[in-house]
Amino acid sequence: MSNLSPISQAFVDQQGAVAFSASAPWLDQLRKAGLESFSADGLPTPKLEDWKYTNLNVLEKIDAGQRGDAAIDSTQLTWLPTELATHKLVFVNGRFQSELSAIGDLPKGVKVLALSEALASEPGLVEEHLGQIGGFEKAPVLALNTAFIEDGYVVMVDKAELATPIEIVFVSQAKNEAAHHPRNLIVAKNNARVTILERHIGIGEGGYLANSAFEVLVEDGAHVQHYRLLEDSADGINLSSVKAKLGKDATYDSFVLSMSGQLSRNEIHVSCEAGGAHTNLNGVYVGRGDQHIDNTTLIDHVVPNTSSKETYKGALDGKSRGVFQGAIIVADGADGTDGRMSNKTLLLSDDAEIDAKPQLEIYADDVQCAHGFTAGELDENSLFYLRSRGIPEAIARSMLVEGFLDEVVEEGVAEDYQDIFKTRIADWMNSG
Amino acid sequence: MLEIKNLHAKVGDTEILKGLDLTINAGEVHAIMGPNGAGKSTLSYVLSGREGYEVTEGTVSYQGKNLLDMEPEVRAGEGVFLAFQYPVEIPGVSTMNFLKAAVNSVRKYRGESEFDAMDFLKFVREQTKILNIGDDMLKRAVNVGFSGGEKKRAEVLQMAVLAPTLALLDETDSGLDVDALRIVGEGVTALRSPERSMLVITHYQRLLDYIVPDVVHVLADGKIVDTGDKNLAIELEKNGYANYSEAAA
Repeated sequence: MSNLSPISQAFVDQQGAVAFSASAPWLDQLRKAGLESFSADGLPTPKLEDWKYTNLNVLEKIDAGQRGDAAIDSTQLTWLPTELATHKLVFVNGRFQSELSAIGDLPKGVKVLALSEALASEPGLVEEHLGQIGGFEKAPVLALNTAFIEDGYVVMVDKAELATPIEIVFVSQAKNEAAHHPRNLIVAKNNARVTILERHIGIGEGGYLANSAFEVLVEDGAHVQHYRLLEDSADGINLSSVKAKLGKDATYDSFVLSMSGQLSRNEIHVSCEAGGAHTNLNGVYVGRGDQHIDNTTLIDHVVPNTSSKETYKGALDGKSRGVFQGAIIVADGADGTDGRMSNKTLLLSDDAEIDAKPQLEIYADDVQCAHGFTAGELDENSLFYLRSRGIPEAIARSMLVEGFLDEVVEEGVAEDYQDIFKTRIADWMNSG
Repeated sequence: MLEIKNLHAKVGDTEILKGLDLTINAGEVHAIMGPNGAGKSTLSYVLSGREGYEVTEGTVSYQGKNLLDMEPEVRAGEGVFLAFQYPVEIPGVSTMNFLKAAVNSVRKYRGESEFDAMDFLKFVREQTKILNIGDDMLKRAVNVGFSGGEKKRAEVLQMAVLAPTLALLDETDSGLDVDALRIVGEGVTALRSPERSMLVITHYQRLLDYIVPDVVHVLADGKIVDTGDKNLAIELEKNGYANYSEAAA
């Protein structure tokens, strides 16, 4: 323990001081296991291969001991067209706000509630799933989240189809410089279909750490669409860990738009564990100033006949820095695997930087795997084409950047929700 | 209307145009023919303002204004249009949005009111019918996955909606089969008018069966070396450019 950095030690000390609202032997044990794992090495450093390009020493500015209060103006929370805003859960600094939320009517077979409530009302169901996918060995950030499990959202869908999306808003209230660790659970079984639209925002000035974790279990023909918008405030730090496990003919679609905050690291690990499992991992990242945006993904093809398709694209301006680490691992015997990965970055200034690291580990013979990585400036030929049609240079540049990024939105997001993300990208372009 | 005098231009250190003179009056259709490497495409890029082409001598005056001083988008506003030999693919930008941005940009430049989405759709559909372009093509990203014929029809559609006073057609026939050539040729011919001049750049005579020129020039080694009527093109088709290449060398 004495080797821990001051900030790591502060997290450990704080965990010991928290009076968690829910307690049960298995839950206490889970938190304890997370704490012990985290305490062994503390926060990751660039000495670790997976963290070579992202340095968390920015967390020194965060007061780990603070837990912010929760006064918030509900007008800041609206982001969806009204017809889509039918099941809404709001969390402020990681804690569920029932007065700001409106879960609405749910069909049979669908449970949507806060983890804090589920721990009280359905402890058996939570115990069955929580901590089951989220193995945190070599995942210190997830271990830290686990040590602080208290609240988050729970979505469980069985043999049901939800026509409208579940809306989640995570608000980080910056003035308290607090750290919080929302823990979320998504379970879909038996051909269930569900869409989760999630927005992370920061309100107020100052830094904070939002360290969320997601366990996603998709089984037997179920389909989960998990779309996230990361709009943290300027000094906000957003870490997230997704662990998804896919069963037979299950599909997990993930889309992430990372567009603000001081530093974000979005880590997704999908394990395809039965035939017909498929995942689409897509993302768009935009940065300017000295923002740092890290997308790290790992797809495990464990058994034969599973597939994955992954596209991440970014536009980086100013001195911003992007990181893309994409790994595909095909296990011995996992024949018939189809895995495709692509990462493309537009560098809009000389000082912007992208560090891209592809990693294919293939231990089976009969597989199709491909990856492609590019980074470069806007294509002069395209720019001239648009200008020759009378479109002024600045507008032509915006059109090209938006078109480049919108392609991923069209590929990765169901049609009804594309405009939500395209509008954000256009706003980002116009605010530059 | 377009007056080119003693135009010299180079790409990098290589001089391509070596004293080109050309005058095109309003409503006239001129064809420029010539062997590969004569400077045909360079002329179209110099006139449309592409970067990387340096004019070292000479003048280009268009409707009394110095064309060479203008940015590409200003030239478009002034009425210059280049139909590209190789139209550029723009992923993620729908053809419809691209056309609307282009048309409203030049309308704004020309002091005309901009179209809203509904009016624009009506306006475009009038043109797409003539060129046999379906709505699905308008929804697709600009030139992405278009066949050779679709790309060239899309170029002619752009020309139709932007209503230029000077249209430069660079090797518009390249990559077209006979049917596509006919549709494109008829599309262009339908756009002929007393206010619109055209410069048709081509290696082969066949496009000129559809777009019948008033004047035909031969460009070789960076200069106009011969000028005649449409029969000159027919002669060239028969005899090739051998005589001119030798003369130039």
